[in-house]
Amino acid sequence: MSDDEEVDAIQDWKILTQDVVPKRGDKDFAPDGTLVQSQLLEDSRNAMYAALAVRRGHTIKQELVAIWYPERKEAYVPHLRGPYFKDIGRPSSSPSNKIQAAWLNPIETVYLCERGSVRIFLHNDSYERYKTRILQNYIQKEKSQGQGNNFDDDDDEQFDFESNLVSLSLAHLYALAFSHDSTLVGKYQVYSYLKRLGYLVLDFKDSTTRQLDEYHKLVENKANESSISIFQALKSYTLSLFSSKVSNILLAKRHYFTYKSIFRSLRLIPSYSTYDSLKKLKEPTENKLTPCFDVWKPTPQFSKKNPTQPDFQIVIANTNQSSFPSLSQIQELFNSSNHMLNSNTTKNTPATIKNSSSGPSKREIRAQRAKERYSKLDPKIQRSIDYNKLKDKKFKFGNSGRCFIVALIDNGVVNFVNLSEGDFSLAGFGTDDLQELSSNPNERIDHGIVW
Amino acid sequence: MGKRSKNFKELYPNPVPITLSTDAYGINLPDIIPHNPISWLIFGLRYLQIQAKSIPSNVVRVDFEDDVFKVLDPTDMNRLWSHGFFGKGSLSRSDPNWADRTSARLGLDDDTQQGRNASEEITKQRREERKRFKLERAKVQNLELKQRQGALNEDEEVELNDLRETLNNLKKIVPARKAISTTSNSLREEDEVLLIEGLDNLEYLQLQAVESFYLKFALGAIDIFEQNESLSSLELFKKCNSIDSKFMLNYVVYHHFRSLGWCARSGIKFGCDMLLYKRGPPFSHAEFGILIIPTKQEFINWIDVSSVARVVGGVKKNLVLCYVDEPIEDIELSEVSDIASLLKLYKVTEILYRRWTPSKSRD
Amino acid sequence: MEKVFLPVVGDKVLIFELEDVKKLRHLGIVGVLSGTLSAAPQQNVFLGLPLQLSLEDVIWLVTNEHGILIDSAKYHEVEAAMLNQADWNSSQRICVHDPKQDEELLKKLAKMNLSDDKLILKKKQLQENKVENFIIIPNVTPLPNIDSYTIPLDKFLSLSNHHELISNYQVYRSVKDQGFFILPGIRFGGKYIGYPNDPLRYHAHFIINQATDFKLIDLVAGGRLATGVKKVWVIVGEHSTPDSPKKVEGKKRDAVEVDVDQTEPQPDIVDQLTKESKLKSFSIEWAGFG
Repeated sequence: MSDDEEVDAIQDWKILTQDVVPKRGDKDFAPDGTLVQSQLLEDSRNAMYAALAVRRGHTIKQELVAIWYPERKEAYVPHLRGPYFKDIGRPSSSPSNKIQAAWLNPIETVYLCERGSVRIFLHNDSYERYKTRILQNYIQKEKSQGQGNNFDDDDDEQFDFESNLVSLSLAHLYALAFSHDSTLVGKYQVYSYLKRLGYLVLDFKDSTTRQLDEYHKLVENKANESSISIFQALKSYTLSLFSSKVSNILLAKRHYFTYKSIFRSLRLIPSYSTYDSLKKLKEPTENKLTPCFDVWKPTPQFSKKNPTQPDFQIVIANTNQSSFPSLSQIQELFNSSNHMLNSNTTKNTPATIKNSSSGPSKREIRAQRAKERYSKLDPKIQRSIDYNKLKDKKFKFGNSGRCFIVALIDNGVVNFVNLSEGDFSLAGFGTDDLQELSSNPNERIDHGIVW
Repeated sequence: MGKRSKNFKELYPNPVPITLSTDAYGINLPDIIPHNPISWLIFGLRYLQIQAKSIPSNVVRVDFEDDVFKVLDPTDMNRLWSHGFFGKGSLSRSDPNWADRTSARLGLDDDTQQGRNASEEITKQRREERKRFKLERAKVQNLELKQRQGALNEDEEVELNDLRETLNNLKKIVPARKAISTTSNSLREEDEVLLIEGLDNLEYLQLQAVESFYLKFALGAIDIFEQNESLSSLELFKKCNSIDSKFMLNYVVYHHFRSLGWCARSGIKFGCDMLLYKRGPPFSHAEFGILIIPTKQEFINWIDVSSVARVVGGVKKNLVLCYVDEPIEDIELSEVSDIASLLKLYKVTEILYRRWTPSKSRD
Repeated sequence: MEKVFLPVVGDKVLIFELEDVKKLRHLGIVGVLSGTLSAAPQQNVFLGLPLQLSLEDVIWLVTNEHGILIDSAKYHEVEAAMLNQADWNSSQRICVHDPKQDEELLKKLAKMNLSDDKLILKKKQLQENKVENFIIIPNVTPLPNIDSYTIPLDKFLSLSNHHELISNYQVYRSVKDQGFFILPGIRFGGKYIGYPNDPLRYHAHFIINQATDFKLIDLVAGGRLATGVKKVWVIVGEHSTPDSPKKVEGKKRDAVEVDVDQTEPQPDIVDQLTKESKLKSFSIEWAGFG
């Protein structure tokens, strides 16, 4: 089904009660006043209400508690359990080494509570006093049993949450966590959207300084290389003698031997070249867009302390309040992204959807055949095919791979857009891979020409 | 698909209406092998040979009348169309094939099938089939409504099932490319004149302002006349600016992509400013839709951009936002004398806009 | 029908009560579900409570006397302090029978080679199991005096900064008052999307935009956009007479609208929102398509 049809297809809530992957059902065009239709509507509504009524929570075995500190606007998890904390939470010192504790920010707190995994209680003095007692207890144990911290935790005093603190309903938690900052609800909606799909999400880290350093190194290296051959220089000098500005005709009246040379002579309009935005850092724009999240694809090995480079970086925009970003805002975002310069990343190209169930799809069969044909070809031709394929990829996805994801929110509906650094002239940085595949290593400036 | 592209490459080998001297005189310049002095010699000889000959020139005449840039001569029309796909036939969808199609319709052609396979004919056929489909489907929907109302009788039930089957079969039919038969019911009153006096080409090739200016200023491939007086580049430049307030913005982007070898055409069909084809419309669908945004524009509505993005994405093209930096100071157009220098004050920046689907990006 | 309470969190209205969701649906207000659905927490096709209402939904409800805005933060802060926490907390421990789990348990027992008597006894115990095994996290805290925490509409509107709020709301209202259900239009590339009835059952008919400063190419794009998805592109705008003030060129913010300076509530904004307006609408679709 095409994207467009998908968007308006029915949400069949009945499917949730049947443990089957949601299918799309049939919708009607307009109410026709029949009982059949109104009955179908009733059924659909009831299915939805039933799903909404399913309670949030967890079994006693999975019991997990956190305490919300209103002044700090954070929640304290005294005893971490479960798989949620790979990316969530900042570790806190706890008296015991066996038990790990962590602090959660408002968004993380609401996410875990909303999915039913953590029960939140409202902090008060009684809990502080308990914590102090536990700490003193440990200090005494240390004195008597010596250091090593392998104390028996079982006889520790347990805190009776239910008798001492108020448990927070979801509505109560939202009010406590999000009221002080009106951007948080939107941020939370994007965060939970991604978390539900299994992504790992941390706060955004700005990489502008690193990019600037790498850029300056690139510029140095380029200056050191012998850029243009004498042959080329002679050629372009002689050609320039023929250009006629007087008659206001750009293409000089002379003999031409290739169409490529005609196009070269027609190049006139200055255009942006990859990484130019790092050339001269302008003053930060008035409404500098601050990105929110660094996002990683689901992966079993993930280290909060030393994460790898994020797969995506997200900035949030409200359709009703913000304008589409200006060029300077977009370039600021590119500059701050985690991109490694000249790494030729092919980031954000659509993943091939693996068809695990039935046999290979038509597309896969075609691709397989194309591969077979390709392997029989002359290496020179193979290179030319690779060259053109790479060019196409660069036109479509950007030369460098520098990009940003905008999470667009319209009153609760979230859409995502990828803005990438384009470069159709392909005449500057980021073209080494094209250069290697090209048939004429001396021609440095022609990669953008499609002929 | 391979066969078809071969034909097109033969039919349309030239991306611009400029004749290469190597083609005009059949003299090929060999590759220079740097360490082989003989190759230098041969190259030198051939080079001088060509330089001695006159520069091939084939200038097309364009007339500016009623605020429209027109090419009237059929050979010229064909030259501009087949050498870079400039312009649009005034009586056709894109390429100026009115004469061919009418010839076929009136039975005047010699079965060369040129007019019969025109895209217009294929579209016509497809639309007729779709009309049939919609009629049958409406019948089904009416019966289904009756069914829901409980008012369906036995005969109607049978009819409903039959119709449903018909619909399914219609869906499966792939429209075959049948040759269009010329039957008398397609003749019209106006055709009498054509049949008696012979087919005069009533069509002209219409050029956009940016196309005309590019052909004149950048390529020197046309001579342009207004009321039989020829216009210089400068005069044409001022004329274009007066008929299109956004001319500079449009032209800068047009020139940028054309000079990189792209075939750039109007994007009006898809709500954007320009479409980019790698070789041209007959070869394949456009790959990119271009939206032009002046860098200094203060407020751009997200809804506007996302609606164009949806249309462009819906026809499987990629959206490129072209930001254009304009000269800082206001330019008094009447004082411009060197067009190239003025154009160099602009700058184009491309930003690629793509939808991102988190659920499909997890692997 | 009683007025629905509309809790404000930050600058948005979020509904946590399922019964309120139902009431609002009967009023033609659908909203957007934005929370994790506990029945299926790892997907985004079906989301759960809270339900987010659009700004226009809220204005419509309040100005038509169907809803009252509530300061959720203050309400909870004050009233929860007086909650009987022991009762409240313990009410969240319940016993839940999961038929699957019961079945598995029975299978296990069967494998244990118990005598028939013991098996029957175990089954009985399972059915009468009063041991609490599940902790609920409730959607709302039942607290009294909610109507003491109301927020007036103009104060609510001053909390956020919305581009062209008044003119957009006029458009929304004119379509809604004709019985259509209206949702945010971003998925379709428009400002709003209009349904003839409940979106659960019916396809949308309209992609709706405000008619401001149109270029012909916008009509082309809109027509194509809508026709391509079997809908119609609708533009709604104020009917201008020779005397009415012309709109400012270009899509700049209206001087009349909510100011960037958010600290001052504009007392007459509610009047502007509810005043009578002569709006005209046009629908556009591509002809000769397909």
